[in-house]
Amino acid sequence: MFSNDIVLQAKNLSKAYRLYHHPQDRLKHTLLWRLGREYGQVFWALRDISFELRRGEMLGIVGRNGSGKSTLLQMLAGTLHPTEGTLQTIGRVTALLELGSGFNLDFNGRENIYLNASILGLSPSEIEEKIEDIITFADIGNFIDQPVKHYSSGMFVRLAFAVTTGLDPDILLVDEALAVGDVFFRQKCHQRLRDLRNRGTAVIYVSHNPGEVEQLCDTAILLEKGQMILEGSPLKVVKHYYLISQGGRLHDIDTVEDTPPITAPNASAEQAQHWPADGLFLQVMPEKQVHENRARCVRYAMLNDHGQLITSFKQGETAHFYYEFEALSTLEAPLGGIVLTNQFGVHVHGKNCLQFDLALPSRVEKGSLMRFHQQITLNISAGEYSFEFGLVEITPDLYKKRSFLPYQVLAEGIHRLCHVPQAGSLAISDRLEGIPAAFMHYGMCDLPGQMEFQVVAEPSTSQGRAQL
Amino acid sequence: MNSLVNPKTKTPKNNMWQHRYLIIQLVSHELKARYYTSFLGFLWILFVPLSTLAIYTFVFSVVLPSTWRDSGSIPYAFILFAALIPFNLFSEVVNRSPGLILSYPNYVKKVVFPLHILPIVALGSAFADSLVSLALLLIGLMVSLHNLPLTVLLLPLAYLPILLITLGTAWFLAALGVYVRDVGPAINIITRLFFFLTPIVYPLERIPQKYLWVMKFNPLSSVVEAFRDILVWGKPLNWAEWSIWFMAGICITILGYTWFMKTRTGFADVL
Repeated sequence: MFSNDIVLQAKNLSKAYRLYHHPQDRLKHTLLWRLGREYGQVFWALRDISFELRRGEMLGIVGRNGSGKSTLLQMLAGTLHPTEGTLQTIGRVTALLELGSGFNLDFNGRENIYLNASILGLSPSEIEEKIEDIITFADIGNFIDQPVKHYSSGMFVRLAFAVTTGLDPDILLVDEALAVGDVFFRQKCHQRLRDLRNRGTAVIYVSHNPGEVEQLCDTAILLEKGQMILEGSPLKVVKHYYLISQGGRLHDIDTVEDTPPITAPNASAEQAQHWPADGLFLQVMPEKQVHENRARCVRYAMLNDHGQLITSFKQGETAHFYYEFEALSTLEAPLGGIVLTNQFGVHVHGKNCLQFDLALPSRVEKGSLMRFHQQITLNISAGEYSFEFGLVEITPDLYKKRSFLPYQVLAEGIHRLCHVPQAGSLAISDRLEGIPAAFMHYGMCDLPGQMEFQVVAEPSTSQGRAQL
Repeated sequence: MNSLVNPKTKTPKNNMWQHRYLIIQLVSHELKARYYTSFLGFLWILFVPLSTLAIYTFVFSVVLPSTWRDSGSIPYAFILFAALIPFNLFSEVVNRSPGLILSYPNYVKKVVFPLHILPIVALGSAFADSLVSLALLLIGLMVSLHNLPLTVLLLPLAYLPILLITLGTAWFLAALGVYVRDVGPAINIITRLFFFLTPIVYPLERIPQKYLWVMKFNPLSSVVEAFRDILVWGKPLNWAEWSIWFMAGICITILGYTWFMKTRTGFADVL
């Protein structure tokens, strides 16, 4: 027998569809096949799929369109019955197949939570326990008491995600669901997924974006024409997926229009003196920031090298962040900084004045403005990122000695003043051309480095090899 | 497979008791949706049965008065109403049944939903409607006759056969309707036929002796008579007939349920 950790076991799962000429042939077949009467033709959508899923594990399913991903997921969810093979699951299975498909449009949000929870067999008292958490996560305000048909698609998705993940599932099936909503919501979703997995929920994740599977999953399986052709580490599976789908990708690249080459950034000295026109700034509303009335964030601008307001960049381009804080009381040496977070909620990059060689005043008078201009060269993978601003103050003495002190000591002299957690977002797309190659790097970010190469001709060993 | 049993959560079973909250929730919402969202709101729940009653009373006691002769002191409307209550319960559920599953494709394909409770929900809301009509009738009888026959207490028993027969038929038709789309319109015609084959707008005595056997095979006929007996005439149930239709009701329910569960695995493939 198998260990207690296994929550799902699929053995030789197969699904055959019969293609009928008339709907009633299907009924005739269902009733009469035992008597040897056959109606329609057989088409195998899935053949012999076997795998196991353990508590807390995340399994990715990748495959091209029509490879059987959705069929498999529907079988795992229990909405389709396998033609052959067995499927055993433990505990509660919730599915994010199509977000909100279990909703009744005439019900309001709260009633739909009850409906979905009751379908899963939760009792009213169990639902009471979880409902507040679900409503808080969905974060749709008073709309929770409106019929869901009046929801925007964003609210719909928020509620659906909150419900599906909020009912304490043992197995969670996710199908492309996280590709919706803004980047902040996606980060929240990924955080929720991590929490669930820490509590032992097993996740099956189907995605058209193999990069996500590679980053998120523990194991992966590759489907092709209804067969499971590979199972193993996500890295291996995704590589193989690219191999079998390469034809289509090359074609895609050919059809993309040409874009002007990226110009080199201007000299930084010139940029530092420059402060953009007021019209380029976005005000930072009081409800978007956290502070203790000692300093507040006033506004910010995100521009490209040409000083244009922009939210989408190409890989390798430089983003210029201009942000302004106002001192609401007298401050010590101010440190401003930015953190970039990707859609999975991973902090990709964060830097503040400490890491740059800046001369800082030891004192900032009440009412004065602190203006920061920070450039970030976006040598990171394509995707959507959110950014946040922060301002802290540091004892001027410590700042002077920053090169000689460990961070732990510095941290004691640092006091948080203001934080703008979800200041804004930016998108980064792949470069289409560039030197030396359009494709800059694998993985999340481009790290500085050097590479050398040489061929060493050593007659004796090469001869030895040739003889082998 | 003992190791696959998790002590923390039970795997969902297909039993109705487990889905009781869901059933209650769906029934109450269905009633709410029907009456709450309209302008007149819950007034409709009174207005619908009363208007039907007014029409039938006008046609069969004013235009065609010859159908009823010796109703004595009891107004014709009550005699008619007592028969309409069980018939409407049956026809409302049965007419809806073929489209029940079809109207919730998401519940079949996208989520794991206990589909077999949908006919129960339809029956539940029709039953609630019928209780309102019943209350109206009892109030009417009280007002005009100043007392109720004691046989009214037999009502719960009188309801049993019709509830079972309706539920079994609903399960059968709900599943069949998924595969054969013609069932919906066909059932509409059949229920209309049943309306006239059942002694609702005319008394059973008007049926010539040689056609009386048709009535014997029509379960509605017996049910309608039973309702009339206990509500209006103050006669006890015909226990022999009641037992037969009660047993038949149990059989129909079991058969309908078995049929539904047997064919439901194919629903997702058809929709």
